[in-house]
Amino acid sequence: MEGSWDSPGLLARRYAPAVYRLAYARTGCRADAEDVMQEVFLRLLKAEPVFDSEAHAKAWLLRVASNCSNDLFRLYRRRREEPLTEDLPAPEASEAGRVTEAVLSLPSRYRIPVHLYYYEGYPIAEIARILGKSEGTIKSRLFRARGLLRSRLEEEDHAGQIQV
Amino acid sequence: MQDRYRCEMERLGPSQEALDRLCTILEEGSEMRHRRRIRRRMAAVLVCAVLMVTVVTAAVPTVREVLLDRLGIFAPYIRTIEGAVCRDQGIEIQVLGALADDLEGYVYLAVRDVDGDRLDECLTLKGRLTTGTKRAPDDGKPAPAVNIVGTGSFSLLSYDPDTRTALLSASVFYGDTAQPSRDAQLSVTGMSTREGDLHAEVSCGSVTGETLESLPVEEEAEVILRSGGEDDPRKFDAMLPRQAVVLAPEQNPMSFEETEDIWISSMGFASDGCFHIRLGLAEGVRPKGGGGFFTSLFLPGADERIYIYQQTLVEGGMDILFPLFHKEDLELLQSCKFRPYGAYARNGRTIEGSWTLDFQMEHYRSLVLDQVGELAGRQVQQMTVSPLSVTMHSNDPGGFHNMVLYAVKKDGSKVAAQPGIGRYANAGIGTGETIWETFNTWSFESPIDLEDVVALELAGERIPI
Repeated sequence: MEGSWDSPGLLARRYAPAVYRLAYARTGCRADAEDVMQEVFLRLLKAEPVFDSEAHAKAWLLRVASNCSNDLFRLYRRRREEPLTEDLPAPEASEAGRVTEAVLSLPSRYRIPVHLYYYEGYPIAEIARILGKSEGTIKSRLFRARGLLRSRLEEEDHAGQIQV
Repeated sequence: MQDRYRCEMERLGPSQEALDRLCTILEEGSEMRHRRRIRRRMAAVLVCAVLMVTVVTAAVPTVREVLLDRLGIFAPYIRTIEGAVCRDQGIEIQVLGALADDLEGYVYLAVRDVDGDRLDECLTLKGRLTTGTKRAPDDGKPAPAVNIVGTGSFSLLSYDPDTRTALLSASVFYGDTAQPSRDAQLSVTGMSTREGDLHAEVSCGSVTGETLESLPVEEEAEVILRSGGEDDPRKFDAMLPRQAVVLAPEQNPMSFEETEDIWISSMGFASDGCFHIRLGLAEGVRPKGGGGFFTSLFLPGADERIYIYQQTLVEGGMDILFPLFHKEDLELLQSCKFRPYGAYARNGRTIEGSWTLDFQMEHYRSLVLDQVGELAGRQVQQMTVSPLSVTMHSNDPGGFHNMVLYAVKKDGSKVAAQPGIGRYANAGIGTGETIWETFNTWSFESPIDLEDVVALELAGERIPI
């Protein structure tokens, strides 16, 4: 399994936690995040993609993780038929900290851009490329997400304690 | 906020069990143990694919019925693969059908317990499907076979207890680095019924305002899951009723359609004034990983209280306390559905053995569209369309990978294809330029008849066929 930097084993060791955290940020559920993590590397095994750099590999993994997380959401929406809407908070925020809970309470379309921006530290242009959206869309989503986060965190925290 | 978010996220890594499982998959390939939830998602895709299957056996009638049900208009074309049967440990495995296009392959198999009754609806297989070849290398050497992996690629489609036969499917992905071959081999090294996956639903419409018989929580009772406010135990404790009770068992039992391993034992208001649901667990059934089941009360509209619950293991089951729902919420509760989900361990069997079957894949040729031209600002070199999927080679810098593609039929109706895995490679590396060589894939939600398709539609633009 070891070998070059792009062997699945080494990529898993380095980036499985990143994949897991992105999936968690989207689903809010540890079991679902683990499912997504496994599915992403299963797809890596099957697809055998050619990466030109480690950064490219990581971006590929995060993109597939985003797709898988969305797939899982769609699956649940089909199965549940009605109440799980895009704007409902993720169902399990019990182990998350306060800021993470605030992120999980965001409408789902905002969660992954927020995660890639605040946790992974990607610039807007790179987030747009990973998610296949325009930079304007990402900027808009981050702007709106910041506003929601600010109001939600300020409700809980003393004013000014958390800067958004 | 960024620092706090990073700090909190760093604490939320995957479990060691999940990482170990992932490493096992990557190291051994055939040892994959893919969660059944994901497998069920794959099964949904396979159900579409099975509409194209051309083979079935008469030896297992109920399984045959299941297949026929899915075959739809292709049912008249069924036939049997001769000789693809293998028996070991009193278990017979038979390949019922095998089909492929240039992108993916699907194999359908029946697993039958000839000597006993050791299989059930939780059957999982461990093994390997080998078919296809790597695309031919430039040096002229023979291309190696493609090995596609273990239990993660097996999906249980149905189980018939009368004939003690399970219908499963296995899949193989060729992508653009491999290609289908006629020869295929299925090698199974073991099977198990020791793990289940709960995805159940029951209406709470029968809940009444009556106070049900309640029992004090025994000292040895274990709280296995608290959902909501767990980062501050005192806050959660403050939400709990003063009196710690659980519902007595079997007061208004209801079964789940999906499984007999777990059922509603009692549901209603306990003497603490709060809403409880007591689950009955068959002998040996326990949520996996030492945690509980994820549960939700699905109400019309958002209600944060549904995420606040505590699960306590009790004799023969589990009590779920929803501390923020009381009798004044009766009408609301009656309109909701209770949905628990999660993997669990169960009393089952593990059967080790050796089953090897050689057979041939039925290949469906694809329609190849060369030099498609510009599409949504990208240059598309080639597209291939089969009854099951579409692939595309282009210079897409990103974007196509999450767009839905449609096949437009003669009558104007459309069949959607969901984006699948693809590959983005920068061929300009080292030259200072970015030159995307992109491979995108889509799978149809239901198979298409190529004769009936006049165009493909992507990003609002049409590609005539």
